[in-house]
Parts: sequence; structure tokens; C-alpha cells
Amino acid sequence: MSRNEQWGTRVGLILAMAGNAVGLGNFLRFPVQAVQNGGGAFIIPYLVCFLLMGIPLLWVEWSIGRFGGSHGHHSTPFILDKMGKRFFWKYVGVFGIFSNIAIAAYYCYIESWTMSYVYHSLIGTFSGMDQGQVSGFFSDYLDVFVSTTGIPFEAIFFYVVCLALNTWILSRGLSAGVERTAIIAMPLLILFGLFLAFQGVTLTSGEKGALYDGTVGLNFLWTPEFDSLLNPKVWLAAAGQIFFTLSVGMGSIQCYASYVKARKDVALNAMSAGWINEFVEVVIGSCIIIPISIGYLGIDKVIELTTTGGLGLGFRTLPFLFQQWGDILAIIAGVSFFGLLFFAGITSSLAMGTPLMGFLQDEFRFSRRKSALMFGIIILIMGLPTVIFFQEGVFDEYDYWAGTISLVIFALFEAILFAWVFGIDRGWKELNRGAEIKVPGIYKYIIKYVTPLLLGIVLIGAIIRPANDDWSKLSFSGWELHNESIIGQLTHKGIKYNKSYFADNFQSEVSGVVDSLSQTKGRDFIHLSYLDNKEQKHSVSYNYTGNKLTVQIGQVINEGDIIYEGFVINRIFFVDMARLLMLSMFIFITYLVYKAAKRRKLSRGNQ
Amino acid sequence: MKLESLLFMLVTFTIIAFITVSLFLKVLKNNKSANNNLQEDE
Repeated sequence: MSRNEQWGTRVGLILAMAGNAVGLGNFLRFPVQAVQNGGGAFIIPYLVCFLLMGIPLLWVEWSIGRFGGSHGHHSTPFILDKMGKRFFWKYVGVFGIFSNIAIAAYYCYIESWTMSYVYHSLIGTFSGMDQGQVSGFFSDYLDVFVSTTGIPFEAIFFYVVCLALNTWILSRGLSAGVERTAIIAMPLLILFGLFLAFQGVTLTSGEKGALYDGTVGLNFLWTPEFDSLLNPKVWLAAAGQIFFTLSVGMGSIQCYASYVKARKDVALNAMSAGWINEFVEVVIGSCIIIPISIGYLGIDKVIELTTTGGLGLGFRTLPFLFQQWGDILAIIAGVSFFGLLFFAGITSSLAMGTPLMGFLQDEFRFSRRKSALMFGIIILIMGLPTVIFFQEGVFDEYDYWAGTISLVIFALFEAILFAWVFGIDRGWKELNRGAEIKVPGIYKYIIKYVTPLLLGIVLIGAIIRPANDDWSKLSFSGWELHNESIIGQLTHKGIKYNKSYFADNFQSEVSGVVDSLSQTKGRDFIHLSYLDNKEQKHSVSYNYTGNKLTVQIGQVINEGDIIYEGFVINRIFFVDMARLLMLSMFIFITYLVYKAAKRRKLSRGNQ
Repeated sequence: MKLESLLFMLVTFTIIAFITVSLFLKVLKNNKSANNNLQEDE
């Protein structure tokens, strides 16, 4: 994307921005967060966070972007440099390119699942499968050595196809590529969503194999538990959801907005795109996955399934449930559901491509095609480890550091820059230039004080998050940290056993019973079953190929017991390598920004 | 479905749908003029 690019129409811009925000999380993450955080009551902190953090950040990012564009900058390093004057702001702006690359790397992988599942829904792969088989199909799909279609390395194949499609669309430019895709994808997404929401809400007990009415799920989701409003965990979850859903703190909104003309509105545009996202998430998103899955599985089972997030429910369960609707409707529902996820995904991943392209074109005079190709190559290098080592936790590592923590850090920096360094008076003027709605005056104070404060609380909350999210345990004498707190992650708190990169044996991470052994495509697996704190049964599988088992089927084992011996590469190795890769990418972009700054200085000296 | 839940859901849906549609209609109203201005800028 270069300074010659521009949006074709205003509606196209809004749909592209809404498409950037509407992602897989609208349909898979939001309903699960609501279920886990007080049902209907979750919507209250969620909307409060939208008003106090989401809307201000949208306005801030749109204003920053348009300001940068008016000075010929289309990526955050030099937009922030222009606003902040001090040399370090351009390096803060590195987050606005890095996050997009790292997130696109694993996001395109999920996008490729949806592409593959559209294909499998169309050809009727799931027809006649029971739930275990559908779930097993997903596990097989994630295993790069297993093919469900006959295509070798199927997961990699679909990933590359998906990435190539993204690269091709980006190479066509802002108006002919990104905007045109959004104009086609967004209405289709809403149409598919409304169809599925109608099916979910009208699901009737006793018909098509449903155990309960769709309204049972809605009732569960929308029953407000007001007690949960006093729980900081719920507020932090709501704030987190607002981040992910609006795609703020990434740098992509600034990039899109940098192609808006200096005298054009951003206040109304930002609101329109933001509220379209809320409509899709709250109205459509809450009427699909939860009503349908509870209608067939009941509340307890769905709560159990959602403990591991929405991906499992979407890919392991829904294809089976759609089969209960009959052959034709199952195909339509499958194509609609995975099609809408695909459209939600691609409109977001395209947005993630534009900051890098804008940077390369602005600073290194790359052509549009060359910069799109660079995006494709970099994402392939960064993304393949998430595909190949998905089971080893590389994907989760990217999601945590790039898709969660980086966003909060960058949003906090830009909120401070806009309100306190650039100055709230200049910022307010910038926001209101060409505005087609009256921005309520109170937002001047919210942007200056409340939003940075909330962002600071979210960041500190992420650093010191207590175990079991029990905030009452916080005391001056210390408390146990959550495995997913920033400190917990940095210290590998969640890894109790197998803490060295390489070892000559593998210790069980659970106490349970050896259930069975199996062999798939020449690889050997051992399956263990265990009970959790709530006496619910779970199973875990370990790949012990090439190693010697030290336990037998039926044997009771304790945590830490050695279950096989030989040569073992532990998960911690892959986790740390993923971090190293991300850190290397961050340093590489920082170096490019340094080089670009030097080039600018030189060219100014020559003039 | 409990009345409390139904009301809570419907009120939320209505508010969000109303705001979304109103804002989008406002954008549509000025969509054409925005393009004209775009050309003027060039």
C-alpha cells in the first residue's frame, strides 16, 4: 500500500474496517467468554469497556492513522515518530508491524482450517460420522503427517493456499483487492450468520435429534448473574474481549485510516465500523454456537467443552451437530458456518498485511506486488512453525505474546502518546476535523484519563494475575500466580515436569491410568485417562515414536512417573524457540526502522 | 426462556441494532458526496 493508494468508496472503507474487526473471535471467542464469565451479566462490563476503552481507542487509532497519512506515512513507526518527535517513538511503532506479522502467521492457519472445512462440508466428509469421529477428524487434520483428502501434508497445503490467496488480494491493492473483498465478504458473512442464528434460535426439542430448544442456550447465555460484576476476573475478561474484537492495539486500523484524506471524517466512520462489529458479535455471534451446541449436548457438556476455548466447539462439535439436520441442510449449514468464519478471517488477515506493505513501500520504495510478496514470504517463514509444531504449543505461544500482550502494550503507549505527548487538545482537534457526528465532550477526558488508566490496569492485571483468577488472594505477603500471567509464562510456571529441552526419558504430566496404545502413519501413541478436580474424566495422548515404553496398559501412574525412555525433545524447547523466533522478528523490524530513519536523514541532508 | 433473560437479551439486541443501523445509514447518506470530495482533493 503506497501513497498512491486510496479507498474507492466510503462504504468500502467502513466494510473493510468492520471486516478487520470482525474475526473468528466474534463467533468462537465471545460466546465462550460470556458463558465462562457470568452469562448475560458479562455483557455489562463488556459494553462498559467498549464505551470507555473500545470507542476511545478506535477514535485515537483512526485519528493517528489519518494524521500519519496526511504526512505520507502508512505504518506506525513513522506515524508515531511524526507525533512524538522523540527518537524512541518510532521504535514503539515497531509493535504496529510486528503484531500484525506474528498474528497473521497463526491466524492464516485457522483461516485455512475454515477453508478446508468448507470443502469437507461441501463433499459431505462428515456425513455418517459420530461425534468422536468428527472430533478425531480435527485431530488428524492438525497432524501434518496425516491426510484426510489424499493430499500430502494437507494442513500445510491449505495453509499455503490460504496465504497465497491473501498475498494475491493484497497485491491487487487497497481498492481493487482489500476493499472489493470486504464488499463481497461482509454482506455474505452477515447473511450466513443470520441464517445460522435463525436455525439456532428456532431449534426445537425433539426435532432433528435436538434434546433442548435453542432458547435453552440463549437463556443460559443471557441470564444475568449480577454477582459476577464484583469479580475483577470478569472485568479483565471483558476488557480483553474488547481488545481482540475491535483489532485495536495492532496497527492495522492506523494503516487503513492513513489512506483517508486529511479533511475526511473519522469520527463517524470509526463508530460505524465499531458498531457493525458489535452487532455481528453480540447479536449474531451469541445466537449460533451456544444455542445449537446446548440444544444437542446440554449445558454441562457445553461448559466442559468451552473450558478449552471456542475452537474445539466450532471444529470438533458443530460439524457433527449439523449432520443431525439432514444431508442437504447439513451441507448448507456447514458451508455457511465455515464460510462465515473464512470471510471473517480473511477480511482480518488482509488488514494485517497492509502495515508491513505500507512500511516497505514508504521507506524502501517497494512496488505493491513486491511488498505483497514479501508479506507472503515472511508470513510463511513465521507461520510454518505454528502449523508443523501446533501440538507442541507454538501456535499458543504466538497467540499469547503477539495476539494478547503486544496489543495491550502498544495500545497503552499510543493512548499516552495521543493524549499526553501529542496533546489532548491537538488530538481532539484532529479527531473532530471533518467529523460528521458530534463527539461527546466527555470523551476528551475519557481519552486523556480513563482509557490510559484502564489499559494500565489491564496490563498490570496480566502481569500479576493470581492462580484460579482468585483476586481476593492478593496480599502484600505474596500470592500464587496464574500459569498464564506474564510472569507465570516467562518462568514456565505451567510446566512442572520435562523442564529440560532434551532428555532421555519422559515424565507423565497427569496422574491416571494407561488406557491404550495406538499407531498412526508409523507413529506410536500412548493414551492416558485421568480425573480432574471435579471428578470429570479427560484423556491425554503422548507420541512416543522411537522410544521405549516403561509402562503397560491398565497401569496406574502418578504425575512425574517416567512413561517412556529414549531421546525426547520436550515441549519447552518448542515454546522457547517460538519466543526466540518472535523476538528475532521484532529485532529485525526494529533494524529496518533504524535503517529507514537513517535513509530519511541522509535524503534530508542531500536536499 | 425466562422473562428476565429474554428482556435483557432483547433490550441489548435492540440498542445495538438501532445504533448500528443509524450510524450506517448516516454513512450511506454521505457516501456519494464523500466520493465527490475525494475527487476534489485530487
